[in-house]
Amino acid sequence: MSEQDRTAVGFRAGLEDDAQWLNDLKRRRNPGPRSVHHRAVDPSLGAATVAVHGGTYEDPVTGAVGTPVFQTSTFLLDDLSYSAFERGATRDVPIYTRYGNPSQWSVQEKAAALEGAESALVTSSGMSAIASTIYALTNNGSHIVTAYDVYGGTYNLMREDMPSAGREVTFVDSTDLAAVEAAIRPETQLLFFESLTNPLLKAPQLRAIADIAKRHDALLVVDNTFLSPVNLRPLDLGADVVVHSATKYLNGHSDVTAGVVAGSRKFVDRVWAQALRFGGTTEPLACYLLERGLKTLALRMRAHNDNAERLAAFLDGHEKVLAVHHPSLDHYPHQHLREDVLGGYGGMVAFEVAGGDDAALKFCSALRIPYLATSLGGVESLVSLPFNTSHCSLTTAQRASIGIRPGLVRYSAGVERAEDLVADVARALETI
Amino acid sequence: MRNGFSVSSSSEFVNEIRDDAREALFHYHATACFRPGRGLRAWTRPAILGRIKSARRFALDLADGWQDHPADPQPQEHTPLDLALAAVGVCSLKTAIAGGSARGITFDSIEMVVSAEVQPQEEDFLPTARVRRIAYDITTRSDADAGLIEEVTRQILDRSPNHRTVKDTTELHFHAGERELGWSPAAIPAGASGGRTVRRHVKWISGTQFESAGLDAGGCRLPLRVDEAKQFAGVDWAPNPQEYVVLALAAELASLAAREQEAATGSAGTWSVHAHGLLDLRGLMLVDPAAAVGFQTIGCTVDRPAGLGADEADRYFRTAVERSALVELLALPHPVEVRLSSDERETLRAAAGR
Repeated sequence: MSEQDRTAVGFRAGLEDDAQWLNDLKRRRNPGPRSVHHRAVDPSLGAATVAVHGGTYEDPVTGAVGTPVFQTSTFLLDDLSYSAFERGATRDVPIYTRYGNPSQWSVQEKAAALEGAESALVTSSGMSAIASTIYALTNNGSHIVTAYDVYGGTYNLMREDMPSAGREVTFVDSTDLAAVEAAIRPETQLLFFESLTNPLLKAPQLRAIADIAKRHDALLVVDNTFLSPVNLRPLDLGADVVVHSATKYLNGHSDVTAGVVAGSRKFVDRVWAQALRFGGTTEPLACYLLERGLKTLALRMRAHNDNAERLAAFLDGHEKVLAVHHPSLDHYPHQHLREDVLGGYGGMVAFEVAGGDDAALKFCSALRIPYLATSLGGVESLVSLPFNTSHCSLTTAQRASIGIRPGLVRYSAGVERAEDLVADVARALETI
Repeated sequence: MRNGFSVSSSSEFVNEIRDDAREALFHYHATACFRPGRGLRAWTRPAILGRIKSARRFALDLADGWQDHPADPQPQEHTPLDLALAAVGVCSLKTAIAGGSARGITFDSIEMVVSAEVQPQEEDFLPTARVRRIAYDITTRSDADAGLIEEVTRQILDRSPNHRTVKDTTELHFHAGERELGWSPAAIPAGASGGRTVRRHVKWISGTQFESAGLDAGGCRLPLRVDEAKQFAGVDWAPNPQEYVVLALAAELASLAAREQEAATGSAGTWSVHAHGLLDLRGLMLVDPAAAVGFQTIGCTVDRPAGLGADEADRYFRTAVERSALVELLALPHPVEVRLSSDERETLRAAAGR
């Protein structure tokens, strides 16, 4: 067991300064924050190994194998705390849980390792992660480019909050590279896209968009919620920052609301400072649940991936199904995704049943296994209809204009046995 | 936080630019536009701070010096020279605070009166007044002994970018579209003395935030805010000292070019001038001794008025450049005198520059 030290690795380097001028300052940005007790895994290990071991707090007192729950709002002050205050390094010493807590550091280290990032931040929800990131990385007077079919919560933030915050937003088709580039202005600071869209599973060309962003000195932020780092690592494709609703696959058990931001320490520190002011802190107990959920991420994603592919294959060509949207299918229009993904496409399948929304409602009520509920990424399958949930504020014509036609079903495959899910769907389709 | 600065962030930045020089290169941009009947307006444009863009949206209505009401006893608009002096003063104090913070000094206050002796306006009444010499009267209160404060404050003479730009020779370039316009700076007459003194008070608030107010009767006394981008320790409260330099330069040239056209033809069109400059933070931070300290690579590009021929526009703009007080202030070396007071005690009378 290691000698006790609650500060982040690298923090003490800044305390040795005997600076005559700025060039004498020694502190560098370090990955993390993580203490010597937080396990740093070899990044070349597989996602399954990283998910289990990354960030685990190896308690020097008890030798506990699992990360303890540091269920406290505040920590004892000492000279290191005072040094952190004086030097503006309060992310590196546990002082107050809104600033940081070893439970948060464990989750952050694991998430960062999975995304191939230097640093990560865990927040109280996915929207907390997204809002903090967007505010932190843009200024008054800036311009943002995003997708017109971005997640509803993000869309509302972009449309309802950005104008009064001095940010202008242009909404584009994220799969149209020419439209993305044409939307760029001199003041464009941020491009925000999802690695896979909701609910139609469209895949923007992230490598090309990253190139566009770099050419224009803008940052690319990718919401990787629908794929998870097991299936896709946006930073490897050129993104600057990745965000997640950790409520979904990362936690995976539909019992935690949380978000994650991952990227360079430089950027994540800025998002941390913003989230600190917004108050989007994650409770230690939620961190414990999230870290436990993350340990099985790779296992769960394999099941999600397989189940969704099996469902998509069954549905494609079924006489009562008009269309199926899933990247595994030959007619899927965004074939570049196959070169980018690492394991699969996640658990979401969208499909249109014959007979429109009434038939879709009848289909859903006939299903016996999935719950009729919003969200995704839990071990249990969930099903919902965009027309009366996520896209209910749009008219039928507006929905059709973005590809959401009557009868569209959003099916989030859980980790149940694939044969059971397929049989259940087959039986429900017979009722319409 | 010391003096509102995160020493840790400063340290991380120093080591970042030590590893990657491109992160040290900060490009600042501004545009000014003179419109007949509507006056002079200048605004900042996005800055490129290393590899990060910072949208910078600040705009100022400025005194053009010839179209504004000359008898206004309480002018509400600053002149380009006001902006330039505030930029020089704040940059110097900020350098002292940044360096002092690294050395562990906690400042209670630091302020300055920056004064410039200027010649009377030119006889042919181009609205510009050439600066002949500058002085800083700096007053500090801190927890450090007077010797250390004196040492840190004297360091601004070497390390403050805007101060060095004023004190040293600096290259300036001017373009009309893609064409570079040749020009020759007017030499400072030997022994020339100023006709009047322009004075500004510069006061540190916290971190990178400052205010600067005019002290002269008849000048604009409204405070100018100065800050940094939030990507560089600031809070986006106002333009930074380098942005004030390009704002001032673009504004003066737009106004002067319009005035020259008006003098020659009886009417002026709409003139826009885009100015930019480069700050290499490796100089200020002594990360690379070969890096320039001063705000450098300053350039302006003019958009001529609609309907005005290129040759004629070039002529007016070149005249504006050659008669501009700010071009001269930035391009040629100027003597700067520094006087320091620490608490109640006068401790230093240091002559700096030439």
